[in-house]
Amino acid sequence: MTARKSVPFEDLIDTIMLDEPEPSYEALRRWQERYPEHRERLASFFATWALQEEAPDDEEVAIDEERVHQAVLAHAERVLERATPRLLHVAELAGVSEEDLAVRCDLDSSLVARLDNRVIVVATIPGELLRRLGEVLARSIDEVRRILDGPPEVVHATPSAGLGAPAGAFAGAMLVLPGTDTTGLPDRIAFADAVRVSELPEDVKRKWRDAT
Amino acid sequence: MASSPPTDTEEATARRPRPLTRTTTEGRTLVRRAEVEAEITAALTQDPKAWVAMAKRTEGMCSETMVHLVRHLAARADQSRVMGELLLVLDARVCSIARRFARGFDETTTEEIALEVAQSLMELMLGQDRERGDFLEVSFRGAVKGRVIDAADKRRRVAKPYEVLAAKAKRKNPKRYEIVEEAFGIDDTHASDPQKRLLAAESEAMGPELIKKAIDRVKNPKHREAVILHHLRGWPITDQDRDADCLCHHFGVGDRQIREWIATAFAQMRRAIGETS
Repeated sequence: MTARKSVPFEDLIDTIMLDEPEPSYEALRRWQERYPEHRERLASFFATWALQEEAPDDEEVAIDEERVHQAVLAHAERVLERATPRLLHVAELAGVSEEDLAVRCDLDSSLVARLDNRVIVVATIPGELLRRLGEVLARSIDEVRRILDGPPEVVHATPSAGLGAPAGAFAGAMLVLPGTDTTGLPDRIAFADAVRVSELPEDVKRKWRDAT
Repeated sequence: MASSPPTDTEEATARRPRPLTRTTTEGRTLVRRAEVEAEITAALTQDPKAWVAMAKRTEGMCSETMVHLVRHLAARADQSRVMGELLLVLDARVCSIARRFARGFDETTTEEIALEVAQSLMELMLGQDRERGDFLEVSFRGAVKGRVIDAADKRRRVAKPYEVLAAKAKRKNPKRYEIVEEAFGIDDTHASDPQKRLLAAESEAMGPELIKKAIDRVKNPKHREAVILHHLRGWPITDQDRDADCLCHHFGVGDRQIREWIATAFAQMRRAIGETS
């Protein structure tokens, strides 16, 4: 048997609820054998599940649903604030691939990654690009601006990474490591600088330079 | 090359929701039910403002469809009202499932469970790790039910500290376990082999259906739990396999004590179904 990465108990519950019609002892043993690290919790979970299946109707209580609704909506707002959708998520929802987005907006993969990671100062992005992104993603220019202006992605990057590093998923994020000044680069960069180090053809670079 | 106008099939394909990418813990890719796929495809042809009416109509809308639409709207700034309305419909369903699968708790605790589960769903639907929300588009009720049971389980364990104490004590120090048993009035000395035989015969005669009918008349929650787990779900009372869960391990008491509990429960159940003891 090959070594397996431990899974969060919540994810395990989702799979169990999908696969098991009822909390039988055989099912419990099967899951315990597969996930011995959750043995105790699985036993307790299956016992509670069995009890709830047999719980009498008169043990069900009324709750103040209005109060729950209000608290849930307030929580949803906080979650949304924390999770402003990223450019590639919005593109995915619009059925536009990363490559297609780059081609239709005259960008290369490094620029798309930096825009997605929100490391380009939005005020320096040409209106022409905002308009094109809006068209391709079926969003207003204000929405596009908001998507590009959310909190930057923070990831760990190699010390050698810099503006000239190869483009890739983390190409833009390397600039925003908190408390890191080994690169000597600012947290966010101007669009023109990102274009300068991109792999776009010279005529396209010139076009974006002229537009900024 | 001049492009021809899209056919109906091409248009329908373009409107189809993106395939789910999350897998189960067993490695299977999640797939929406055909009914949900069709409902999402139909909804995406409509203005989002119409979705609320679709969700609230008598026959309702699949919860999984609503989850997809909420996740779709989360990326849009101009439809927050529609998203809020859909979230309320989903939350009402969460409350209903919480009431059903967190029975036996007071109003405040049940409300806490409903809120805790609903808030965790908000994180899955609207949070940054959006892939984790895929499961909600496959089995919303399953996801909610599992989380409600887990939340109820955590509270149940906290609510019965003596069981935790007894179970831990038994594993660490059998001598101390006896002291704990005594302290909590867990008496392990009254059962006998003839009683074991009687119980086995009795449960066989009564049968699962009759047990289900009479189970809610058992007064002591521990006795009821022992009968449900042993007679309805197949948990052994003891197990030679030290890694296997059995009622002794689960309750942290000896097998004779468990049989005593079950005997008491059966006496109450017999009375409930009109039999003479």
